[in-house]
Amino acid sequence: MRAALAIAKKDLLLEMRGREVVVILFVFAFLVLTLFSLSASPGSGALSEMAPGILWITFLFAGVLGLGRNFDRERENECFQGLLLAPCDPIQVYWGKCLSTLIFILVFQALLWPLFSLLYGFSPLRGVVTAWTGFFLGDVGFVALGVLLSAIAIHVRSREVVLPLLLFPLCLPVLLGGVHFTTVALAGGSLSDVGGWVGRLAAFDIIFFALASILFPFVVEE
Amino acid sequence: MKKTFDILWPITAVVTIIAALGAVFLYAPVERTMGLVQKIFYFHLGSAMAAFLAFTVVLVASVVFLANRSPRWDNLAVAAAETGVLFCTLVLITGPLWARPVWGKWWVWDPRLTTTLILWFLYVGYLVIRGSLPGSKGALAGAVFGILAYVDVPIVYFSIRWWRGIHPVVIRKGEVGLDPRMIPPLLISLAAFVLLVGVLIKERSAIGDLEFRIQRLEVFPREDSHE
Repeated sequence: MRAALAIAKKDLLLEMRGREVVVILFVFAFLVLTLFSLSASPGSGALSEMAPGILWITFLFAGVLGLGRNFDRERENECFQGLLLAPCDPIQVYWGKCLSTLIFILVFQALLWPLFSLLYGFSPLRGVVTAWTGFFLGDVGFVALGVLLSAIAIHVRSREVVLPLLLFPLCLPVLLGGVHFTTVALAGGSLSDVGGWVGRLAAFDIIFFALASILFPFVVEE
Repeated sequence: MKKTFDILWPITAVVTIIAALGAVFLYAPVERTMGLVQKIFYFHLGSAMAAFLAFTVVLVASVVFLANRSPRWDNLAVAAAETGVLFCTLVLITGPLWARPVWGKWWVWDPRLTTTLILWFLYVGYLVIRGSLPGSKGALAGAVFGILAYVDVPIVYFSIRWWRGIHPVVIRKGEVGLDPRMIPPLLISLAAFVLLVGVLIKERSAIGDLEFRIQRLEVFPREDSHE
């Protein structure tokens, strides 16, 4: 566990010094939200009805970019090999990368949320607990699968294309759960209005995380 | 023994396919409301079953490969994934062909249909990894993804069902109004598809084994002689 924390700390320190991930994700997502609002015909109610879906599609796009950035650093100068050579269980590398990616995505979402509610006409405090429980549970599932697949894609030349191709169909359940949470939140609902999805999304997270933890050592084997 | 089996299997498959065609088009009655288009059903269900079997073989071969690292099992997994994608594509083509005249729509976002489409995406993804990552890295990555994809499919199915809330289920248990004379053709046709998918996977994986041996002969010319 200490090695995992050290790896996450290293990523966060790099990010504090360079600000290469979170800021870029934020600007990119801002742009995507703008394009989505412009693509709807003006004056129709379609946009606010689609808002939860739009937000989560934006998270997916930004998330896959964030994973790519977080792993590109490890590709330069064979850093990933170095990490794997560290005298610890390779699973610690997986957990460390998961933790740092999760923190990046949560910080990015914290920046985007007020902007989203401004652009799409919601109060940022409306259903805030529900929305953020959904973000957190959705992010955990996304990160659990995303970090495992990034470790596969790190050796692929066209990884920018391959990673979303593998990741998006796998994390469809997470997307559906997340959209449901956000829909309830934007309607002003509390966690109890979300219903069975709280348990379901948590169960998906546990399944994906456990399975990925079992499979990760095979991916990084030499 | 093995040789007779190798010859008998494809022959049985061909005979069963011909029998299935005969049973479906000559024996089975024409459905009253749907007409001839209902006959797609025999091949649609057969393809679906073949695809499902093939993807199960991918899972089993992937698990065994991770345990024993034998290239034979890896070749089997690749062969099954390719064959599975082929049959899954057939399911996705025959389904809309039937749905257009019967439901009036080529496609609806029903849990079953959506899950099949996602299934297709997942195993196309598997083939993409295998295409872009050669050698042992690709074999390990493929095995990992093969397991992940299989576990994901039921989760996808249930999450879509829950997400859509109350949704009409197209075929409920015990409500399928199949004429008794439609059942033997269906069973023969299912058997034909199972035999066919088996032959295809076996032949494709034999080609994979040969390719592997040729590659090894090129790198280590003498090592193969004692095999």
